Amino acid sequence: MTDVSRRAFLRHASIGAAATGVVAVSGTALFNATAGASPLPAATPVTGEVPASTATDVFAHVSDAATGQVTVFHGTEAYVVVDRALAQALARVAR
Amino acid sequence: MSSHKEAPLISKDPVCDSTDVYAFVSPDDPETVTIIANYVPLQDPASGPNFVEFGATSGSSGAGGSGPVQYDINIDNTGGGKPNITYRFLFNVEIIDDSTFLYATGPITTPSRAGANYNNWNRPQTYTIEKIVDGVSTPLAPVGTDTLYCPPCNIGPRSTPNYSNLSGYAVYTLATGEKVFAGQRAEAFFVDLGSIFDLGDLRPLSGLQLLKGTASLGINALADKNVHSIAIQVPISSLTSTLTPPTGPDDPHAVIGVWTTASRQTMKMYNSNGTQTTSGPYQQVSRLGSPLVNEVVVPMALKDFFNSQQPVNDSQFAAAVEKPEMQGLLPYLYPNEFPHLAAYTKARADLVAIFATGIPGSLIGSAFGYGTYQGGKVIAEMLRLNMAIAPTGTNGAGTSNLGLLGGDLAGFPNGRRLTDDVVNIELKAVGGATIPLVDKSYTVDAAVAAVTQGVTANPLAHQASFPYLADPHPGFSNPTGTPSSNDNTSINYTPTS
Repeated sequence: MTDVSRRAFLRHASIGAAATGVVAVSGTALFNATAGASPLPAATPVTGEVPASTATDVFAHVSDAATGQVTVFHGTEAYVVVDRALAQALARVAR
Repeated sequence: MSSHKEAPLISKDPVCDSTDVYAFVSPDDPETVTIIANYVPLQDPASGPNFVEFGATSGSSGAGGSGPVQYDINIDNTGGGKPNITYRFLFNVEIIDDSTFLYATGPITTPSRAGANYNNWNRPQTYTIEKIVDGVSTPLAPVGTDTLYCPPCNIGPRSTPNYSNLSGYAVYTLATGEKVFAGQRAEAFFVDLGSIFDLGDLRPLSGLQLLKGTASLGINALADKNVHSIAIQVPISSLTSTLTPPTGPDDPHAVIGVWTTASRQTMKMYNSNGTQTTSGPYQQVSRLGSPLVNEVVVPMALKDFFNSQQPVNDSQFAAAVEKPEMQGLLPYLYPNEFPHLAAYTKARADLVAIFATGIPGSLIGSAFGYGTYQGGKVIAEMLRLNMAIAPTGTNGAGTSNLGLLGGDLAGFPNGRRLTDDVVNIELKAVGGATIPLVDKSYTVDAAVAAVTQGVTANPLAHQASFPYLADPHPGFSNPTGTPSSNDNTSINYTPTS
């Protein structure tokens, strides 16, 4: 009887499986590679009144409240802000 | 296939899913190169009421355009794996009459003046083009109009009569010399999807398969499908890094690498009123150069990651090309038919040349000049084209749908034409046909000559002039079939007048 079990199939495809092992990249490495290829501009925290016309559809992503890293998206731009007080304030809202 | 729904995430975002890229010296205008990037795979022509369109912004009309998508056609003319030239297409969609559900509010006809919407088209799609050269963007303007229209989808004889007039209206010449077209077309790619993804069965060789079947011809699963195409025809002199025509096939500047990408904004919010808001920089989500690489070479877990990368980063995928999974599967699925392939343990330098560095002309012969080689500066998967190789036409003397494997220097993997049988070419190449190019000691297995998917190019999908892809199949008559005999309502109806 022909051996067509899943194990046999994968064993015979193992030349590709070996390649998978070589090219597999960890999630952390993926992030680093992507971030390295397209670094986001860092912004200095600013204070003061913001014109109402520019204050629409602003998205903030708190990736790590402990380090204070917040990525702010507006229009076609993204800005990385390192501001622990802001990050923790946003995190408190979400708690 | 060749890159239809090839990765888990992008398969769920069809408007961004690139399906095929073609690049060839235009057979009827050999001073130019035509590049076609196809999107939105496996379209059924009968797809109302919301017919297919490119991903788009919606202006102020609330048209629900999926959010903006940057569609790029990228050209590397220095071999660096990065775009030296990018043609960027951005689409918009509007609703003319928001009180109706109709896509066509009557028979759609061409307008009486250039730059106006088609008559009775309630959901017109328009677009803009930028040309980005080494990072500097310039808007491109059409001649004789200020607005670029896509044609409507081909619905049927009542909604879209005289379709060739409608599509002809959407072929534009730009002030910078390019021709452009963007819109629905007939699917030219041909593949037996049903068989190949049933554990690598090739119907003509089913009798030799591990799980034996009955040999038969293949079935083109895409024969009646449509696709959305972005086509551009560019003077060769504006594609080289020297901005002059190449002196001949042996001119290193004759070679370009081509690929398409689609990018979406990073953030998307689903609002409580049914609309969506997007924000942030564009992130690449789809990428395609050579056919089938991401499809059947890159492992499933890395496919969407591959789609996010530029060619310059491709050394991280090189191992999957050097030791392709299909090389291990063929001898297993077709026992005793590929003994030499099964025993071959060296890295596949032939496949690396085809997909990642370009093929040095010396491997083929003097007529191939510099080949498709770009100097080997980086491992970069692109569709490479030597623009100084004269076209052989669609059915001209010396034309082979097996391209280089058939002795036709103007065919894949020197660029790609609509009729090139890239499935057979790549099956044969992975099966060992191209190993002797780099390893003279290798003997190709006899079965390689017999390897075929058993389908041929669809003649209904081509036309002789730009954009070369034929008008789309109409929804009214596709899919074909026998009208139902179970509904007697119309038979019993007696007209009142």
